[in-house]
Amino acid sequence: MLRNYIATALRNLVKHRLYSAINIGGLALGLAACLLILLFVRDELSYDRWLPNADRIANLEVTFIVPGREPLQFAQSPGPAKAVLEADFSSDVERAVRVFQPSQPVRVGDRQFTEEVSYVDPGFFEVFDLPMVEGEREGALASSDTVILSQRTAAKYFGDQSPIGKVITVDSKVDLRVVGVLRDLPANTHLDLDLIALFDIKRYSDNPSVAESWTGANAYTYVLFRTPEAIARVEAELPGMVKRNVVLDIPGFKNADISQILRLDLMPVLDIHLYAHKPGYAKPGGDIAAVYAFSAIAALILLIACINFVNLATARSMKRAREVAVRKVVGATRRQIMAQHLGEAVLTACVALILALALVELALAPFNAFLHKELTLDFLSDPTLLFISLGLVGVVGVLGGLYPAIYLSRFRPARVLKANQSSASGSPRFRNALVVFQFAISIGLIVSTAVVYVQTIYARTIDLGFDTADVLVVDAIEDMPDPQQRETFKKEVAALPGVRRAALSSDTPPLHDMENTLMFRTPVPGTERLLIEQMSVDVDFFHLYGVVPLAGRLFSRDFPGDVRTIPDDPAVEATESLIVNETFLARLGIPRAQDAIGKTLWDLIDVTDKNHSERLARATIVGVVPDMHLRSLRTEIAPLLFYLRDGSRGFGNLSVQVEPGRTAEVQRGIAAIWQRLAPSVPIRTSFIDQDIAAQYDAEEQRAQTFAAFAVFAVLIACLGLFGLASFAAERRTKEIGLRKVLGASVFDIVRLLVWQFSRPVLLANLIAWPAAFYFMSKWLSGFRYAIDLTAPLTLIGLFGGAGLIAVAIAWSTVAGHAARVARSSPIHALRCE
Amino acid sequence: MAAVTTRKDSPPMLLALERLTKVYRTAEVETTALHEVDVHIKEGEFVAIMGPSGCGKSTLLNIIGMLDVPSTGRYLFRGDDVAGQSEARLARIRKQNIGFVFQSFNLIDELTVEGNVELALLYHRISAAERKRRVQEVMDRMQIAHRAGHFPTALSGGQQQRVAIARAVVSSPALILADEPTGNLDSQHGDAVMKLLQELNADGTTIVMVTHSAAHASCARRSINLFDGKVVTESLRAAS
Repeated sequence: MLRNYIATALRNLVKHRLYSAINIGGLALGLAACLLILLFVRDELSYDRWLPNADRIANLEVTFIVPGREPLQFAQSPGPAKAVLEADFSSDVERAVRVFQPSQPVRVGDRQFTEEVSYVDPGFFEVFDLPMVEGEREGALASSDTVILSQRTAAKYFGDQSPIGKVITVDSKVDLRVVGVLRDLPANTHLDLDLIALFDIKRYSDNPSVAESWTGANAYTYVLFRTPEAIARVEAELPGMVKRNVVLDIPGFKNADISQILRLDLMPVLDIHLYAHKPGYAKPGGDIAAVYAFSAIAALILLIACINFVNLATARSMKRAREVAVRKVVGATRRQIMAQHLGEAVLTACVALILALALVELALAPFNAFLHKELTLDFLSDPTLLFISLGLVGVVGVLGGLYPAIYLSRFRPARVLKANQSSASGSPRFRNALVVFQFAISIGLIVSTAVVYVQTIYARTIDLGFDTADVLVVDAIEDMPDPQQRETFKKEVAALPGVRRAALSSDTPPLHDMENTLMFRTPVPGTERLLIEQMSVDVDFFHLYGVVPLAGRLFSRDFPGDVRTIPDDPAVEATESLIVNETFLARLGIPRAQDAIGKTLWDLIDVTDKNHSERLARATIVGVVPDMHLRSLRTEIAPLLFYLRDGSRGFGNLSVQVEPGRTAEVQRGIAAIWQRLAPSVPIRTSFIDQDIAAQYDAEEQRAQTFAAFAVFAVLIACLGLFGLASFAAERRTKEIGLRKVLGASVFDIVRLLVWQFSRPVLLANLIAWPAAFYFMSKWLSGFRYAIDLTAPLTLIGLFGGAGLIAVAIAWSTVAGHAARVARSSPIHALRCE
Repeated sequence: MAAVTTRKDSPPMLLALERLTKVYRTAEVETTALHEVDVHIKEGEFVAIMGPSGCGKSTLLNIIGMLDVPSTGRYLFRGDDVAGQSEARLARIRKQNIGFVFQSFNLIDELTVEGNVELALLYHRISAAERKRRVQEVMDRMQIAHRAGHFPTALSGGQQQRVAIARAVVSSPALILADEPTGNLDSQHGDAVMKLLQELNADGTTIVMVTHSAAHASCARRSINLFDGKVVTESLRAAS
């Protein structure tokens, strides 16, 4: 019996090649898209699952809550938290370790690199049980002059030689001896460990915020719990721990409820990749929303392919009706007929799977390159994948085959066999409903893709409030060993031919760090605290970025008082000038920029300086500048103030404005000066417009992936439409012949058939638009600055455009058939029936 | 009509239709295809059903073959009333007892001659070797064994009908229902098919045949004439 079924199925496949190709091709495309997405989703969900004890490890995150501004969130946490956690929760916490991960210059012989060096507490390997390929891991953390390298880094530094015993110089001053090589971590981890050395907090005694201050968040604190359940238990107790242990020695904060200001959270490592959203993790994370979105797309694409199957099978059921009737006549039961047709659907899906696997194999390399992943399709090493693939075939077979099987098995043989007549070919209404559904999905995906694209373009082209063209940034000039050299460097760069201007600042857009200062309205600190983000700039900064003040003036050398002055005598008032942004004015409650000029605030300076603790400086607002998008459009513009610094302390970056077309020449000049001034430190330069655009890489990547799969969906839906159109053309041959005999023109006939298939597509728009509007409005709400979907032009452009595209595609799909049938001779058409 | 009685020496009753009516209804039209029809057929009979187009011949044959169900009335098959049986039960009775031959052959184009003949055995619990043996035997008998590997489209009309008859008889049914089996054939092939049917009848198979041809009807022992869904005459022919 099986042989008979298979023979019938295969001969049917071969005999009706077009339909078979559409069915198998559509299913193969759908399965391929599904498998690719599945590989991606599985990889995203696999992050850190390989890590021993992963379910018992969590990272401590911190949020500083300050009234009047957005909470400041960090993936890192205050240094003292580690010891307190271990002491307060000894029954639940097995071990806690900090990982401080600054980016530092590394010198190996005469070569220089910039690396993220991981300084870790002893016990790191108790928390992260990572395998070594060479050397001893515990011994490495016993002294502060040893280091462990990853395989990758060891090979980069020393090639094939054993790195053990070799010495590298970190941060231009510390020599570290290599004592071990760590096996490279798999790609699916949030950890980024290339150099591991002891976190020796004595080295940071001049900067207590690194390890000793509750108001700084510089090192990660990873906690290994005794049980997975302990994570939630301890997290619930964290506000109490903060209350018991944290005292903020800052004016205005002394009597505050500290747990309302400093909030600690535990982020399980298994959730970091997909759920962590606080900034500061070493690698860019995934997004659980994207995982859901792509899973949904995979399901929808597969559904579209299955609908093709259902539609074509029921449309063509008349061709199979006689066979079903004869089988029934010779005694087949309904169940047997259903089993046969379900089996055929599964067989078709199997053939499609083979094709899909080939497609996936072909697409995997570009897909990986695009997503920066190392996904593989290897059934031998990953048998689950085989089961998943076969499961997909089963689902597709049943989903696509069930309705046709039920439908076909219902045929009454007496009616079918009478004078060799065919039974009705399924309900066209049902098929139309399915076509509407398919195109609704396709149009929805087109609209979503368009919205994501337009938002990305908007983000890239929005007026940021400052000029970014031809601005080159030399990053991390604080790595220059001698601070005096930074000023020299700026002067020499400014003098280079082709350089219009150079400016020093603590950071450059897009801002990476966040420094804050505490301001008061009165010289006696009251309860109102203004924690304001700050940037340090020199006098050239605003000119270079083309920023024009709304009121007042910019910093100038003509006003020496602009720079902070701190008299040695604590009785004499310290002074400084401020330039503030518009949002800061709003925070102060000053409606007009002009009214802010000359206003005085009291700035808490050098709180960490033991000699001048809690000293306040009189800060005078001398200028107001427009708000600038210094960070991603996902974040709201915060109140911001600028200090003028002289000398070079506090400056991290040099911005260089280059004459158009002279970039390469200037870059060479800058590199030569750097090499002369700081030969031991590698130079890092970038273009500011590219840096800003890079913030939206993830969105753009997502948009492109979305677009690719939307194309898949539309393609598969069109395949189905093509099949239905050819079926309709075939079926209506006699009608068309009669119409032509009665005087219809080719155009009349084409219009008739094209209209038949335009209606469901037009209807699909009405379903797709509100759904896409709902989901995309939700997505856009994640941006502080986004396109307005309700604007009439946007609505018409995006939604109407997508609808038109779908209709145009549908037309071009069916028009060919329509024209061919319409042109054929009516005599031939009439004889056909 | 009087109740069916069977004399001790006469063959047993194979099927009996009693006051059987079939009405087709659509939204607007109600058509009575058969009206209170009484038909009794004994085992081993060869019955021809005749009448003009649209008189209900095919409907009657479909109901006898359990491909259709009566609206009212009784249908006794070997003494059991099958009028209200489930589709699955009817399928079982059908495959065990009835073979069909159609005017338009109704062969499956995707299967070879052998595959088409074998089809009638697939839904029986018969081993593959036994199936092969019986298919070969019946193909030999119908003189189509030399075309076993061909597809139906490669055969002449007469050959196709022989394949259809082979399919009908391969499961050794007690009853063969033939719906204008010669309607699509020329006279030479038509006569050959009738000869085959007579041979089968001579071997004991009951045959009920719908036909327009008076000549072919004369091969049957009994003719039932229908008009407007009613039995108007029944005529017996002396055994030849």
